[in-house]
Amino acid sequence: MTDPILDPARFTQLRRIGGQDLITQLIDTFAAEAPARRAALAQAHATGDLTALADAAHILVAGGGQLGAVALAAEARAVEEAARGGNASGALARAPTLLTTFDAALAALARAREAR
Amino acid sequence: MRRSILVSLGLALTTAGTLAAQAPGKGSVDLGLFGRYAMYPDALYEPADPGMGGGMRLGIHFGGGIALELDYSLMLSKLTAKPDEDVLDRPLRVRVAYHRAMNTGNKVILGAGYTRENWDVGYAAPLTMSGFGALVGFQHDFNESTGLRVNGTYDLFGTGGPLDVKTGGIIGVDAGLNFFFGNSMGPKDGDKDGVLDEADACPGTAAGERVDARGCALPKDADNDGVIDPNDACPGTMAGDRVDARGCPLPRDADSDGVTDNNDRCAGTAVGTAVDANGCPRDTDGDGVTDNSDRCAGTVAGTPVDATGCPRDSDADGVADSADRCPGTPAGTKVDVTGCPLPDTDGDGVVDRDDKCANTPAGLKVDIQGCQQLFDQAAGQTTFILQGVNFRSGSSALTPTSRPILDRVAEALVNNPTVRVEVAGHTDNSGSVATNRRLSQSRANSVRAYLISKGVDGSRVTAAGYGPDQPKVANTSAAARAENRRVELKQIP
Repeated sequence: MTDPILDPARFTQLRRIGGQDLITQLIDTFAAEAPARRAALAQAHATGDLTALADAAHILVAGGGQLGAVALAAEARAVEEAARGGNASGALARAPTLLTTFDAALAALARAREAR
Repeated sequence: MRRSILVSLGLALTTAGTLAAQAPGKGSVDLGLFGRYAMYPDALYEPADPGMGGGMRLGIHFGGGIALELDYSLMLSKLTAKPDEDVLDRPLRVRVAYHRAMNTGNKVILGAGYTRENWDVGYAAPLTMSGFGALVGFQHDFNESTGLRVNGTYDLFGTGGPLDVKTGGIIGVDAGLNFFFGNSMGPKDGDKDGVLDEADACPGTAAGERVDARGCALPKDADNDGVIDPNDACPGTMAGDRVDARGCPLPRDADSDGVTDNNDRCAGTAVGTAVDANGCPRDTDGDGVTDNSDRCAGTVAGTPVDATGCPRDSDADGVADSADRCPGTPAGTKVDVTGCPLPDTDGDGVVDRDDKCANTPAGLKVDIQGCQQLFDQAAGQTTFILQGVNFRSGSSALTPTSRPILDRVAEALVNNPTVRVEVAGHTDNSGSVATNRRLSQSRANSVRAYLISKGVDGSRVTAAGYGPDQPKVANTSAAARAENRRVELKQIP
């Protein structure tokens, strides 16, 4: 849990509520939904649909925040705010970075799940 | 009767020489005044009533208890057949008497001698008779000069004669005071041995000598061991040594354990220690720990014990090694009667037997009943953020991923029925305050409703929306605002 992509404090909170089982369950759910989230994000980026991009980013803000994936949550928040603010170029420009960060978060969460 | 009296007097005189030293001193004189009562023989002259009168006695002592005594009495009587006829009897006696001191001023006196009886009746010529008189007396001295003397007398006269006396004897008793003039009459203890001279068979005992009741020196006990020298086979026993009946020292018992040193295999046993026949500390249960140190007396033979004599319990699980099927149980592990760990299926540290929440997920903090502790009581925690509980944008609808989290919270609350909580909703400062308050209240209500739907008693859960009023951090950045948007669970009294 020393991965800088993840916030250990968030895991501590979750572990307190539901133990490692809860963390595992949440990570698994997040991972299971990841392909769809990634596809929606890529689709919105490809089509330049700012509303769809904002909604897709918002889900990642919540999901990242829930599991302590702070880098993902921050990047997703920036994209969401840009998209909802009508900053199409800014939002679309950051979308690839968001996808990369998303992948990094998934990898870090997978490691965390195995590390227990 | 006559024969027996003569025998008695003879015996008394025979023994006089051996008892001579205890009597009044030579040259002493005593004078007695007495009253007398006499019974006359029927055939003396003619029957007469018993006579009464008095007299006096003079005694001259020659030492060794021998005295010459002279007494004279005047007695009045009447003839039995002629009550008007008085009789005057005037006996005169001279005797040799022996005074035998008994103890503390008491004497026995034996005497024998000549008796002259002058019997005077008015209508006839006086009768004078001579005969033999015997005396047995007792004297108690009040002091060195005065005593009380009582005598019994018997006077015997011959028969026949000019008046045809056919008498037997005159029996009399006299009693009176005796006055002593001279020396050594009263009770004296010349050798100061505690026995009066009169009773002292050994006068002149050296000063300080212990004597017996007769005043004779007791055999010495030079070593003061309680066995007199004639019987002491070991004279010169050291002071304080205990000795046997022969006066010889008993074997020592230096450690006072009741076993003499010659039999004591464990010399120097501490005082008070119970010992066996060999003088060694007793180990009744034979566990190798002596009774005085054995906290578990009666340990079954062969049981390994610790230093206190109690069955050894190497893993300190409360089950002695001899019964422990699982030696080496880690410290603190709860075990069954066989010493084996009790099962803890959920691994929360509370064995199944005591676990009221037997399926607690791993990693949760639990209480002593094995149920989840939402609030860390030890750390004083009363609030925590429901991390990961999210809502759809701008609404109070819970996201699907929030439900697993709230499910666990609900379960914990159900298992802790005494805990009451407030669900507190917070927002950042974006938008109007009123809107944010409504939204935070709505979201708190949503969480409360979910918890109730999962079995939590609604009376234990309240909901409050604080809007932006209680930010965690200043709303200076997007990240800060995200941190302020939260739902908390607060423990309330």
